[in-house]
Amino acid sequence: MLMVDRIDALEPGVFAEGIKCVTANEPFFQGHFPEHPIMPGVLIVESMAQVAGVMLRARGLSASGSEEQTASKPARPGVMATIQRMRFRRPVVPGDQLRVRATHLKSLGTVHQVKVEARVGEELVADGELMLGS
Amino acid sequence: MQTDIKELKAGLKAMIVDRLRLSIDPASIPDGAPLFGADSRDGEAGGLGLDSVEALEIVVGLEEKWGVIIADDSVAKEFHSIDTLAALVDRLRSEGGRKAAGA
Repeated sequence: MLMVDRIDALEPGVFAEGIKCVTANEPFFQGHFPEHPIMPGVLIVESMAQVAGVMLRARGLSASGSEEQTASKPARPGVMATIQRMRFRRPVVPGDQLRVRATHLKSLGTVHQVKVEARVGEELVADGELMLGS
Repeated sequence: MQTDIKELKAGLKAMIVDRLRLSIDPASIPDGAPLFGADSRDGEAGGLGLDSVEALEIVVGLEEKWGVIIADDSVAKEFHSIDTLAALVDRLRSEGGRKAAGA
């Protein structure tokens, strides 16, 4: 499931920022929760991971550790290896626009540590660190 | 200096066990045992069999706890055992800490 609607800013291998518009029609609101729609935290993390993936792939980083990437040999998708220090500071509800920022921290071979933050307006709603591998 | 290194090794083991949530006694890790791969090296058994994600964990742990900066290539060269890790951290600290290793 694509959890990013638009990438607004991108510096390959350094940072990326994207948005996810959260509507009342999201299928996950059906059961999460009846009468009390709250975006599941894991899906906020998924959105963060996707933005981080865009940042890494734009650099060709998540492919095979090498930075060469060609159109004929696209990068393999990054997979989440760890979720660390993730905090959900405020519920995300229908009508919110999630602004997700991923900033590269450190890489080792094919594993990349990324700082991720999600905001609604100016307010930080979730933040933490991910490690993505391939 | 000898006690420094001994303390450093104990600190390294504690950090690794803590960060990687290993269910072993830190003191049970032999100083010379290979961290990655379970095979014995140099005649010493008891490798931890760590993977690449855990390697990056250790890098982050070293940088946070000892204030050193670990260069990518020093991971391949100096991440063999507790002995080599201790030597790396000790060298980086004496070089002033915030200089990149092996660069």
